[in-house]
Amino acid sequence: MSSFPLRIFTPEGPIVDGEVETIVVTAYNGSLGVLAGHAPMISAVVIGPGKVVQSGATQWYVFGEGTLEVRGPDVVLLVDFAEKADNYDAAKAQSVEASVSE
Amino acid sequence: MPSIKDYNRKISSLKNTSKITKTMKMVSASKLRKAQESQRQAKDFAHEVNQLIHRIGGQVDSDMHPLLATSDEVKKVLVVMFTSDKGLCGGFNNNLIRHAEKMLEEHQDDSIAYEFAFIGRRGYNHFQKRVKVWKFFEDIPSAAPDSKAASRVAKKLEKAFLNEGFNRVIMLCNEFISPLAQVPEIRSLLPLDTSDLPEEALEATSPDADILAEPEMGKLLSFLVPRLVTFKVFYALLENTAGEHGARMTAMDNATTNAMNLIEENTLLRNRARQAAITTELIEIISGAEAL
Repeated sequence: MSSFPLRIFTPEGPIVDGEVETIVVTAYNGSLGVLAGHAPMISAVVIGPGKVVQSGATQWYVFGEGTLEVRGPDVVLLVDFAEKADNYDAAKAQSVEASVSE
Repeated sequence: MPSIKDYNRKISSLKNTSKITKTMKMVSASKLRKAQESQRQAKDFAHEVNQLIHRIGGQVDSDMHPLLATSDEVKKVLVVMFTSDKGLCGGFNNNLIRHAEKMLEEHQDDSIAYEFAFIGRRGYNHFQKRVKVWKFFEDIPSAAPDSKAASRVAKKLEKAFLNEGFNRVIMLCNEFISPLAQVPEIRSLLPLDTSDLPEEALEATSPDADILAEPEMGKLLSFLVPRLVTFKVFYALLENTAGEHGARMTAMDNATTNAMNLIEENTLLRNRARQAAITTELIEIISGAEAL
């Protein structure tokens, strides 16, 4: 599967900086996945589960609010925080917790 | 007069104390390094956000986002105070508390209502009965903050500013100058200062027309502005952490030096006491021999 360079920035520093195959985030109006060769796009990201597939391995995250930008081949995700989770259900639960504690 | 045994006890307890303070100093030194590294990375984040605002071609005016809107009359001010949870860090917290008290005294006669939010137990413990407490962020660890906590605090503050009638939100924290020096400082948080935002968008960065935006560009821009609030809160949290560890490092270094001096002093006294005991014994023997 073809890959693209992804950078995930949080105030705590870059979480991911390298070639990945897929990124999925919870966008402004639903789940949004990006593969290599996506058209240029900027989207708002809300608190919710997301995942990154890097060399075949899937890592689930909870992403905070921010933006996802596809610029040429580069994809940049700017979020308030990114927390690792074991699987989708855990990520979902963590994000519910994160939005409730507000 | 204390006996040799008393001195020995005192010296060994002093040695233990100096071991503890020395270790605490080293721990703080490594935590300080970590906090400073985090500060640098947080700055990178703010830089990225600013660049993105720039790229979107946005020129941010103060009427674009409610978080940027200044009000002519300031009636209610929310003060967010950053202190540490734990003590043993010299005048770090006390200086800030004194600074806050001075500020309150100066503004006593104004018709401004001050309410306080606290991060860090020290400030809260001092002020909880003295000022109107808006909220104490109990679950934010002052020693190692994460950006999730910062985002939570930022959201609360934004809400206070937008819905609860606060005209200004200011942060009271120690500016980290060096591990030896932290200076209490008042920083404005909300309304967000437009000088924190990128200068006018350059002509060249106007966005491509065919770029997908979701939601539309204008709304997207307003989505980016709160990121800067999160950044500022996080940065203040980190500065507080760096300051705490820096202050503790200095305080513990002084404590170690003092303990060493005391050990030296007490060793001298102990030796003197030992010599006195020997001399007394000798005199006793000699005078005993003479009597025979």
